[in-house]
Amino acid sequence: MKKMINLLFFLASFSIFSQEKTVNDVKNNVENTISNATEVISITKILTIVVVIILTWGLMKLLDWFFKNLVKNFNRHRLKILRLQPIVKILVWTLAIYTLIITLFNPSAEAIYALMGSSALALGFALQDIVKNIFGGLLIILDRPFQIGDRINIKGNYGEVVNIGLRNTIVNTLDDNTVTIPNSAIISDSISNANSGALDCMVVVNLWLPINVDVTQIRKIVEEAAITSRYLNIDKPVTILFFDHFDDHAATKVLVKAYVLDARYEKLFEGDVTEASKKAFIEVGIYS
Amino acid sequence: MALLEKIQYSKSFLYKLFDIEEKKQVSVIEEAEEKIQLPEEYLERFTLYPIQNKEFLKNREEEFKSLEKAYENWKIVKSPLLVVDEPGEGGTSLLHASTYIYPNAKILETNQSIDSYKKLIGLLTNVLRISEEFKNLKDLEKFINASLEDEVIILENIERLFIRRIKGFDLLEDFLLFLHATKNKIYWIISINKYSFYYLNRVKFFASHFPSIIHLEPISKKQLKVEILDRNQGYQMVYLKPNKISKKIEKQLKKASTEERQNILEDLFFKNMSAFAKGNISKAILYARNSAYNVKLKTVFIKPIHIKRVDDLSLNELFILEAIFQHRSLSIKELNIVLRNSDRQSRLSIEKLLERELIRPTSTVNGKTQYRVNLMYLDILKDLLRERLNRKFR
Repeated sequence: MKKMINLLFFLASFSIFSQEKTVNDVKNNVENTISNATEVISITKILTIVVVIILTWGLMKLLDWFFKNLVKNFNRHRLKILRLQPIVKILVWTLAIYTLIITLFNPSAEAIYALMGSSALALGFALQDIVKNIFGGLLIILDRPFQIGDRINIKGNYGEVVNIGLRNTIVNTLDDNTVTIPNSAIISDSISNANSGALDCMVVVNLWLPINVDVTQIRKIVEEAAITSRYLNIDKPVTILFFDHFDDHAATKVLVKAYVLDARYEKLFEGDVTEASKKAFIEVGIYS
Repeated sequence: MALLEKIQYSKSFLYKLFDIEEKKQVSVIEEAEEKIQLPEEYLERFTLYPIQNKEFLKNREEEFKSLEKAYENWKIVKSPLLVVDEPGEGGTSLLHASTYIYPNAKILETNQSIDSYKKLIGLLTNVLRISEEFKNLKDLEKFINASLEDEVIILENIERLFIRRIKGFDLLEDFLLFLHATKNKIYWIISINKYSFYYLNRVKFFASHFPSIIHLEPISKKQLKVEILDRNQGYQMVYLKPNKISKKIEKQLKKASTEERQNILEDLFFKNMSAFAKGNISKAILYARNSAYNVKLKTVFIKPIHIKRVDDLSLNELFILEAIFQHRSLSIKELNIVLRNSDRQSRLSIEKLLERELIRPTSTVNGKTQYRVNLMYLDILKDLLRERLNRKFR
């Protein structure tokens, strides 16, 4: 009986002791977890994230506004200014992300390498297209096949580049349509650039005339139509070319190659030269 | 550039950068009411007219030397001379005063466009005192080469011979052919406006016709000051504090005695005037005239004027101004031709520019009204054309 009582007493005390230990362990674990969690997600850190994001967003908006006004007020240097815009914006984003990582995690070099390795793998599978576009965007900015303000033809869309983003490039066509083209598509396609960073660009005006025209007279008319146009960049040459065509019916094709003072007036220049030439052709009896 | 102007410029630059609207100018009507009418006797001293005598034309020694040398060259190589000047720079005065080199020189000047062969032949026969009538320039050329003795002709503003339109260069080109054909008999001295020269040089390689070209140099600040002081002779000049002044000068003025104060304000006035005129005598005269605030008996009160900025012109208005620059002056009809505009469009734009005093009307001999750029805005408008129309002229 005495043995039994001792055993019971032993079991009861063991059970109480083990419960107390478990409770203590659990308590310790919870305390540790909370302590770790507060270390990782502290109010200070949350505030830091919010402040950095708000500041970055605000800075982006400020930059957009600032560049827009620079372009408006310093028209002559428009393209140079616009060239800077995507570079500055990417720098700001990079700085913001860097600040967040350093402030929140302060990772060691090994941790960064490990993170980069694993995230590259994960991103490679999950965000394949986005990553392609981002690298495409970086390539466009570094390689510079075109700049904001250039007039390009990509995948049949001809117009002015209005924005080069990390994912997409936006082109405003001559019909005032906004075309968004993924950067990955741009780097894998051929692009024609009409002005390559210059304010002016060459405009080719096509004029069709009867086959038997007096080319000397026509040359004089179209050349003067170009050099008297208000939109002409007078610092660059005007070239006139003649071609005979015998496709459906015989005709003389006249090409007027001249530079417009600002790529934005390309179509106005083309129209002006065509209109003036046509009036002169009617005057001399080439058109009736 | 004066400190005050630098500050003003920086302020405007920052305003422009951040797209902040500057304070609006006082309305034109108010300004007109505030303006005190000055006596005619005083204003006449500031009338712009060409000087005829070398003795009165200061600071042009280098140009006179070049003109003498060019004439000596013509005697050997028979090459014509081109003088490139800016409106108001004194090109006409230089050419008129240069007649001491060739006293029998005939001056052909016209304030209207020469738009037909008949008009040109008429002017040439008139100046050469030829009584015969000629159907074309070729006949006149033959007559000159066959019967005329050596002559010197000064033809001013050759830009009057072209109009920016299809077939608008024919007369000018034929005249250049005539000039080359008669250069053995006639020493041609041609003058052209700087902007017309820039345009014609680009589109028609104009300069290549002239082995000798003289570009007028800006007149020194010292000489400009002398010219203005001369025009105020007999009047006591009292300098008033301008409306806009830097704090530094404001402090200097507070500390200074009355005499010192006048010296500071005098320096400030002439500094502002030189910065505005940039060596252009007519602009300096206009600046001084517009700065004359009041005249009482024999005392003139001078308050430096502030030239307002112009940066809100439309593209069409800029094209109109450029066309006027290229032709020196244009009538509404000519403007319609040059810009391929309708009459109504041109009139409306001209009215707007007139209201802002950027251009001013002038009457020709036959009573037609032509419009030319207001000299007070010459540089501002040239800068605008450079900036907005991507033109590369100096």
